[in-house]
Amino acid sequence: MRPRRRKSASKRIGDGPGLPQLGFWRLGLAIPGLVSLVLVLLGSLPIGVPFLGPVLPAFGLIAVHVFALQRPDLMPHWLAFGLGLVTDLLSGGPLGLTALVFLGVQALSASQRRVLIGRPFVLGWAAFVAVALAAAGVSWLIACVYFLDFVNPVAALLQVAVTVTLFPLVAAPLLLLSHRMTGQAFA
Amino acid sequence: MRRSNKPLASRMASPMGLLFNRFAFAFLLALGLTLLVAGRSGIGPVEQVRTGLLDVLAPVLDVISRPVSAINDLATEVEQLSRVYEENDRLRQENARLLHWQAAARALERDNAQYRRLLNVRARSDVTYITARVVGESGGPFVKTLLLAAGERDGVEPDQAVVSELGLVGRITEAGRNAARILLITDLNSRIPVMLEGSRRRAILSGDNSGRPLLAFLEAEAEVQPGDRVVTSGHGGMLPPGLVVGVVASVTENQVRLRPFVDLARLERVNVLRYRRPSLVNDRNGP
Repeated sequence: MRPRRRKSASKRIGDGPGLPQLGFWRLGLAIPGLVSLVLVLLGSLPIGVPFLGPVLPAFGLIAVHVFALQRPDLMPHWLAFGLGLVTDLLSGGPLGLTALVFLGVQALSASQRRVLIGRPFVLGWAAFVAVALAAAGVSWLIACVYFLDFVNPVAALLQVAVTVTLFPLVAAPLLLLSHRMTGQAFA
Repeated sequence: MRRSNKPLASRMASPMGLLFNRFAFAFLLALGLTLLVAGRSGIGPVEQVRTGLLDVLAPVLDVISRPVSAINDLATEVEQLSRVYEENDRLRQENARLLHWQAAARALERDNAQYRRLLNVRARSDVTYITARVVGESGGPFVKTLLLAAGERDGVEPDQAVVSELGLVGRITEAGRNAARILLITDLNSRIPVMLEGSRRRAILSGDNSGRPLLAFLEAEAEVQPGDRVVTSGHGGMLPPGLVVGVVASVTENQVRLRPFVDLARLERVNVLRYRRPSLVNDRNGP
């Protein structure tokens, strides 16, 4: 297959000699981190979603997955870990649990770039289902060991279902943003 | 494969970059595990750091949550408007019923006051309230907590009971200067001494992260059936006695579950109770 032509190498924020032309490139580098932080904070707001009870979608997980896949240089290990720590601080859960899970998701998603980049959105969605299930499984295992108790996994599965359902709504703007930063067309 | 990734890929794939990446990953993995172990065993200043950071994050959440709160209020108003006639009719009937209860309560209050005077019963310790806004919730599947925009500055302290107008919500577990965390009665780690209001049989309300906490250690001979009201017993001296918690939702051979009166997913403002627990030591005169 013939490679798609890149519009302009200088448009990629964080790469190459064209950076100074943008002027705001340093700010641009922080966009994925800031957007992810806002999503983590939004995921902690008392929204009061009917029928869901206190389980809210894991917006932070979507952000870490999408940016690790699209721009792993702008979603490094430490950032994913830090976002997880903030999530733990806000939730009051075991400090380090979500940090470890986000770290794992970052590594897993970044390693799947070659397989997933440029594929149809539905395939990316399916891949996220696998990532979210793996993240919930690992979280649940850590929680069981941490609390030395059998923690009911239903809430974790419910959160996966809600997060996966809302994935297109959250991921689409993130994909547009990362493609805009990269200067590529929408995959 | 797209060549547009080349600069990024080449940078990521450089031997030094790979080595640094692996080192960073291993370091953060070890750090995460250390935090978990330290948090679990209470080693080091994990709790203090957590409370300090909570103080920083809570004001941010306070600002962000205001529009959300306004939207929630609007949604509730619209919902109520749609069934205002139905609601009005229901309230009229309820009002008639409550007027009857008011008369009964006044008569009982008079009798009670008279008996107390006759028996020289000691009055219950004073309970005062601090009303605060809920600015965040755990949202996660393994913990059930809420963040409160009030802290030690406002008189909030760990172990204080938190109630809404309908009943018990939980208790304070962490209190920073400007923010505090409430452990909900449904959380896995929540244990509240309660009793059945009618039979006065004691039990421990034990959360399991579901919406229906368990009534554990209920005395074997206790007769319990769905609909029985459950209140705090006050044993242990942490919570004031008589706070309404909920009603028995289901009774099976092994489990009795409770339905809390409070909708824990839709709390906007709560009251923190400042309760002076009973003490054997005379505070005024010293030991």
